Amino acid sequence: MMRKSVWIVVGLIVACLGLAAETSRPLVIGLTTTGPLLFVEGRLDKAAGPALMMSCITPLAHQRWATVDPDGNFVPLLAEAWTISQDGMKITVYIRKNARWSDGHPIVANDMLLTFEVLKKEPVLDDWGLLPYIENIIALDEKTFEVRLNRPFFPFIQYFFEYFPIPSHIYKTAENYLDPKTLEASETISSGPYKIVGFAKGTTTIRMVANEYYWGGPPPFPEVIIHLLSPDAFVPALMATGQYDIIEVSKPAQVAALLGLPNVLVRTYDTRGFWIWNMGVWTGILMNNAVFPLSEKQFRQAIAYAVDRGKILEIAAMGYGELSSMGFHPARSPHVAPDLPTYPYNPDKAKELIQGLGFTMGPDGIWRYPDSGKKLSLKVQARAGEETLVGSLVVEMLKAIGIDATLETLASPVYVSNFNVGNFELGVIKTGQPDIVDFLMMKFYWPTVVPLGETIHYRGWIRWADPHFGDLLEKYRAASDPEEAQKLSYEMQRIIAEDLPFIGLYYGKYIWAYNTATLANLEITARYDWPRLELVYGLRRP
Amino acid sequence: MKYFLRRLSLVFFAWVFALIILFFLPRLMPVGPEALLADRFRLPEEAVLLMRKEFGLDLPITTQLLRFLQNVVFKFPPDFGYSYINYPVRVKDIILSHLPWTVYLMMSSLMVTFLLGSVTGIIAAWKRGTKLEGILSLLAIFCLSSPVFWLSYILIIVFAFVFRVFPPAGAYSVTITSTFSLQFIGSVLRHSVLPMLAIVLTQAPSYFLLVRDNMSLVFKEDYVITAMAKGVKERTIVFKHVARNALLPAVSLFGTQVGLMLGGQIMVEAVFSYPGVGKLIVDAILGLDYPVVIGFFYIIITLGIIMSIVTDFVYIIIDPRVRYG
Repeated sequence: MMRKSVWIVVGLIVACLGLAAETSRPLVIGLTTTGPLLFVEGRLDKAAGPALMMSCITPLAHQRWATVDPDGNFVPLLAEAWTISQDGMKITVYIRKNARWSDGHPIVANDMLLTFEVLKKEPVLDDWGLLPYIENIIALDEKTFEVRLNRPFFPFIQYFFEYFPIPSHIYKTAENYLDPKTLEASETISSGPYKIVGFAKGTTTIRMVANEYYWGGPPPFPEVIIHLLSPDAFVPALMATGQYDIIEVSKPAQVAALLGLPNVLVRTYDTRGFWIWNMGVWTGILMNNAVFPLSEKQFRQAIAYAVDRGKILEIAAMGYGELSSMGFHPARSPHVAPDLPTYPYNPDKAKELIQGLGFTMGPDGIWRYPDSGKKLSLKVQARAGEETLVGSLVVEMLKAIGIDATLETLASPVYVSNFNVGNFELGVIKTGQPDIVDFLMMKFYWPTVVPLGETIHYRGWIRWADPHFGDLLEKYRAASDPEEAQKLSYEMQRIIAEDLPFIGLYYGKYIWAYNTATLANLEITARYDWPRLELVYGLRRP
Repeated sequence: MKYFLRRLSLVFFAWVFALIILFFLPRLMPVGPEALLADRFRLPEEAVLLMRKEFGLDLPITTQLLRFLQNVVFKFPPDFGYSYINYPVRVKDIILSHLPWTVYLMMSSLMVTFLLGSVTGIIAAWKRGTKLEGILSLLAIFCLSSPVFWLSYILIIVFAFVFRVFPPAGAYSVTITSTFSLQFIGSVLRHSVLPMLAIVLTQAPSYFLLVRDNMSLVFKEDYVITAMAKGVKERTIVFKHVARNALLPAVSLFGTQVGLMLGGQIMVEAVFSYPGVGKLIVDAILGLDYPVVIGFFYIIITLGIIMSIVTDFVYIIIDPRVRYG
């Protein structure tokens, strides 16, 4: 009897295993991610979470006014067209007649007015610092609104088009929108090609179906499933199952195993579509310019000579990337200024520069401070993962020139807090980085140095300020002549490359694996074709 | 009964003490959750202050502790409040949405671990000095000294990548809707094979070695020699007389393993992208989400305590010396 029962249980298990075989399925995308998933439908100004989510998930459900293709050309999305006045002070935006929310309600000028009200009420949500430039936003009619500026700012629309319309027929007022208690009450509403039908905070699967009211017609896949995978997931095994159509490969070391698989195509991209920009991933060293000896330009230059950036790229990113120029752009960028200093790896030169600052070499091979005779020690802070790997290489390279360097791997909030209050010496950072001159120049620049111990957000972390640089930046933002703008950009890059308030190491490549069997009728390309899905996932119909 | 009541009062104080330590531990971090709130949610200072007030973080530490004890120790079900990083979702809801996966994986692994470790331990002791014992011991030492994440990758490479018999990640196929159907159950079973195997292979050796060594000692006891001399069947001696006594420490180990395994499973869940509390707790620790951290460790501590009581009970049943002592 007992034996019979065991066999029945075994039989049932085997039957279940057999039934688990796959049937026809939607597009399945695997994304490796760290951090909690906080995706708040229809409320993207308050959406927070890993950048991956913002770049690969939200664009499918929430659309903006326009985007930019890989060639830098604007592509209208919710906005049908727009005009800019001669003096650049007035922008008129015409919303598509057939642009609708996923509940069928039309997208109207009032939706953008509500966004503006929200930004005015909570300026901290003004990511791109546009509020100081905006005089007012008014609705000319139901489908047209006008933005009036109080001073010229030529890259304005690149940023402005990033601000989502907020469904005013649902939220009514900015106060209601901003009330955290209404977060959960909001119904799923989207403006993009898909609407979310299966998602709860903390879950790892997001199910999206085509938004029947989407202005652009039905998307190429009626259903998309996004599976959030651990960064430790072994992508080759996942692709081998044939369950996934596309997976982002976060560990370059797994590429070799992927290349040996049939029906798998591995593509690398320099950038990933992120909002309207193409986002690269920059890895660099931030230096605390407010503490000695990092406050000395000569010392910062010594560090630049001590760091073998090519070796770091080869080891930390397995060569999947390219070196950053010292002016901050990727070396391939058309925006790089000519004749920038390059600081090739030269430990002898680094030692010479340190000696020039009065440091003396101790018997143990470690430099001593000129006055106190104390050992020259530096701490390098990093977060777990690639940053720590880069940090350990940097530490070894600093030790090789006689600096007693140590690595501190910290939890993200502690790491960020250290930067905020200036409680760091060197910090390895890996961050999404658009190749837009204006933003690049703004990335780590705050016009005043905030004293150590006082909190400043990322633009002021390096605690470096140069009035001349600030002046050039303001002029650049107001420049309408492209030649003049380029001249100003070159000058700013030269200042950065000379003064070295931070050191750019490399721009990593994004690696994606595609299932060529299930995507057989699609062309896998890096070119822009169909709004967002193509830009994000590199797919288009031939 | 007296023994049991004494044990019960002791474990209650141990439980409260552990929870008080749990309350203070996250607060020893160099930065508070307000830093996280401000950065991640890009909240203005006033909003952060309001949230601090809502979470009770603006109160003196003693008041916070009393409130914690009131809500967690003297309330059932305990109220851990809101998750900071998933606000306004309550901790209870967020943990409960992940816990079933972890409990399923843990309990099934634990059962298999106990059975496999004990049975192989008994066999090894029984066949002491044979090739079989040598092979089993070698395997046990190999698995015991293998880091669980390394072993997990090996299992993935062998069974998911080379032979492709089991899926390498997730709790069930992403294309299957999570409804109570045979297809779903089958998918869940298939997806749990490799993570379960990783846990079993790293945990079972502890039982194996413990049972094997205890069995060897019990084999030398007078009553066993007497039984042999009386001509009692070998199988009866092994299973009825020796194993029953040798299994006592394994039962204790089983009790303590429950809490430990819940924590130790984090790595396995990370490698297999399993949607249990593993990822949740890693995110919570990195994000200074104290209420979720406290909620998770509350479960581990409470489970540990409950299992310790259960183990005592089992001891009373299987060991008369405790009952009459």
